[in-house]
Amino acid sequence: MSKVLGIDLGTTNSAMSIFENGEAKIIANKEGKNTTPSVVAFTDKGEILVGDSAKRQAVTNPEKTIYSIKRIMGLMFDEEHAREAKARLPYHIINRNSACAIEIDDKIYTPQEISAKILMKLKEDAEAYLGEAITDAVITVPAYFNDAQRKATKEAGTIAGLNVLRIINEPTSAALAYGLDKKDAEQIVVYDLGGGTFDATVLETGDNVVEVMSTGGDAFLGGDDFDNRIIDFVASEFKSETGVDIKADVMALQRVKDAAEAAKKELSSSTETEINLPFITADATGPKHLVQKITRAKFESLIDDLVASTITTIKTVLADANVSTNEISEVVMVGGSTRIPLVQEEVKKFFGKELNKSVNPDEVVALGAAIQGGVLKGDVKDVLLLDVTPLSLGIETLGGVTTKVIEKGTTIPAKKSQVFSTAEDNQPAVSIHVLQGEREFSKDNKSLGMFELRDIPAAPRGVPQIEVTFDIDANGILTVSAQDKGTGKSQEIKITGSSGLSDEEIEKMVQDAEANKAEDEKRKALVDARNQADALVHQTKKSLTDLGDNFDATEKANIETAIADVEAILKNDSVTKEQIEEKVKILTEKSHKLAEAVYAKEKGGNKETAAKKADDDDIIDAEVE
Amino acid sequence: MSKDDKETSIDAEVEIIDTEESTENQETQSLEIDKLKNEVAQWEDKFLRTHASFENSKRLLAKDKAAAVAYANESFASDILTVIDSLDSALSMIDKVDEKDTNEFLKKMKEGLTLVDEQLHKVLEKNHIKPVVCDKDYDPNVHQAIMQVDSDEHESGQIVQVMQKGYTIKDRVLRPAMVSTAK
Repeated sequence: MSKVLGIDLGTTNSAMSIFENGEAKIIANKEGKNTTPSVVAFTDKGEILVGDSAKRQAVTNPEKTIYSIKRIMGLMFDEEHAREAKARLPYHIINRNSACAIEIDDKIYTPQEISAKILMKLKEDAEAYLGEAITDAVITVPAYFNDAQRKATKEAGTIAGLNVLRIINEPTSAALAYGLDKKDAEQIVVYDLGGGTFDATVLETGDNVVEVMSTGGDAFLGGDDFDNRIIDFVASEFKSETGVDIKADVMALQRVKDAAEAAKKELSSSTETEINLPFITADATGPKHLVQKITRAKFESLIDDLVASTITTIKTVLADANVSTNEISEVVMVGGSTRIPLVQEEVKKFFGKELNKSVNPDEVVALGAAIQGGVLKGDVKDVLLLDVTPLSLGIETLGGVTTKVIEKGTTIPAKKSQVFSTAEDNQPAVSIHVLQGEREFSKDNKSLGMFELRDIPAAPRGVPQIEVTFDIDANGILTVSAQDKGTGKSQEIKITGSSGLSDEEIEKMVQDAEANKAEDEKRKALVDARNQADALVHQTKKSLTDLGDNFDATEKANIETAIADVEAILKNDSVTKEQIEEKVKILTEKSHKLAEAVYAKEKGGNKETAAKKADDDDIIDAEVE
Repeated sequence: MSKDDKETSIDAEVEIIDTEESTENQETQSLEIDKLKNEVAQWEDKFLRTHASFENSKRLLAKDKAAAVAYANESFASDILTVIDSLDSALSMIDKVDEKDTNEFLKKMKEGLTLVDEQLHKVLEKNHIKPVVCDKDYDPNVHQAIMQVDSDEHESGQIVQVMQKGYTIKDRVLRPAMVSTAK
């Protein structure tokens, strides 16, 4: 099934996204950027450039570089908006059958045809990335677009070879990206401060429908205005300090522009930044360096009138919709400039509630368009909503420790096996205690059930291989089975209530685990030390018995004392990890002689033991019955 | 097997005895079979589609990962460019102050700084970051035009002066070169 391309066809920049496996995802263009400048240029060589390359050559080719085409999309030649645009745009806007068109080298282009060039680039780049053809698209337009403007946008899509499934409003698209259409009936505000325009919209949502109640904005306010305030400030400070007008030096100005944009971005995350441009210029007295600290407070004082004007706009829009701030239940932030802390603060203060700003504000509109595409194609409905395990599942092992077999957050159905072994010599049975939870110790987790695997043939500890398999089906029914790989004998338990916990209980269990993490880890380390000490005692005793009289009697007595010490300390319940380790260290040192003796004996050619030891390393001791 | 055979033969007998009823049975059975066949086909189709989409996702993920690894240095590299700009600027200023190399100290400083600059560019090149070539012809893919100037030595549209060096990382433009072009 072919995918639907969600397109945010912006005034300054455009972005695209697809809906895949239940998620909308932004597609980068051929140049590796998530947004593409909405600029088309016709060069003297007869080439047509779209995007970054078109933008770069704008200065050399102002009359044939078309940007902000959206400003005259679908407009009649004598409309007020068209007149306003004509005054600001450097290319030739002409009257074609009383609609706006553009004249380039005696050729006439409609705004649809220019927009189509942008759409075509997006389409081609998406196809190159996906490796498949794309025909269907959902394109977004501002909420204030009238029928003619919407129709023109759709035509642009058709010219670009796209089958436009639907034209949707930008604020609606943003609301979709936040899933606000699924909520109960409510009124929301979308605050969109983009690259070149500001829009505020009141939407009414509910029952999977989103409706525009009122909209308004400033067609000429955006990110560049904020940069320019910094540039002006830096330039005037530099002039008063050095007397040099940096704006007159094109080369220096370019460095200041870059630095101002970087400073603006940095002030979103830190409260102070420094513009540092050594050797920015020179005069008769020598080189000049530009070093200018800018605090966030200073930046805010430079831009507060711009931000205040957006709040004034919101007030008008709310009045138009006849709603008050406390009737607004959600506020959605769209556009790169909404990253500026002052913007967020002021909007938050005005509405008195937290803002929706978790989705990348440059991409949120395109993402919403892709979601709309997914809905239209039936992909959204078709997505198999697979559950995940809310908590980890495992079994109890030596020392009351929970060993996880299936981790929390695993998508089900899932099946996983792990091999365990016995903890005692000649252990006849193992008990499998199935647990759910995130804590280290089984007593802190929820017990789901227990069963025994009996008739394990007599064998030294660690030798039997018991494979424990956890299998959760799509309905959340858990089957735990244990099989003795030696005899093939197996036993299983079916647990249906494994997800019978309420959301609150699950949340509490996860939080408990988080809160007790340090304490649990400490206790786990103690248990590990105990288990290791126990294994060492066992191994040493075995070696002593194996060697019998072939070992120095004094050394043997020494080792036996050390073993007794370790055993004594293990009996003490309040022993610390350090105390165990101290005694274990003594035993280990004393056993060196023993190891030598064992080694000397084994040199005779018993390699099998060594091989078996390596195998044992993979085996985790199971709880003793 | 023999038991099965026997059962079949009994069925056959029944058929002969009550033909009418069995035909009806057969019809409902074959309807049921058709329905099940249909369902199986639907499931199979769904399974294949899901599997195909999984395979496609894997392919895209590999592509994304390759790009993420290839351009992992991109943000660091673009931050370091401002440092190079400052160094370039310092070098060109020393040049202007002492064009004829009359001051021995300045001359040595210049030599030293030039070596540092070379060192830096070698490190960049090792990491696939290369300066944009700014020969005569203007290329909007890698050059950003800042202004147009009158020039007798250049044809219209050609690069007159490089205001700020540009750099590429592998196949991508890290920063276009800022240039002025001839009117």
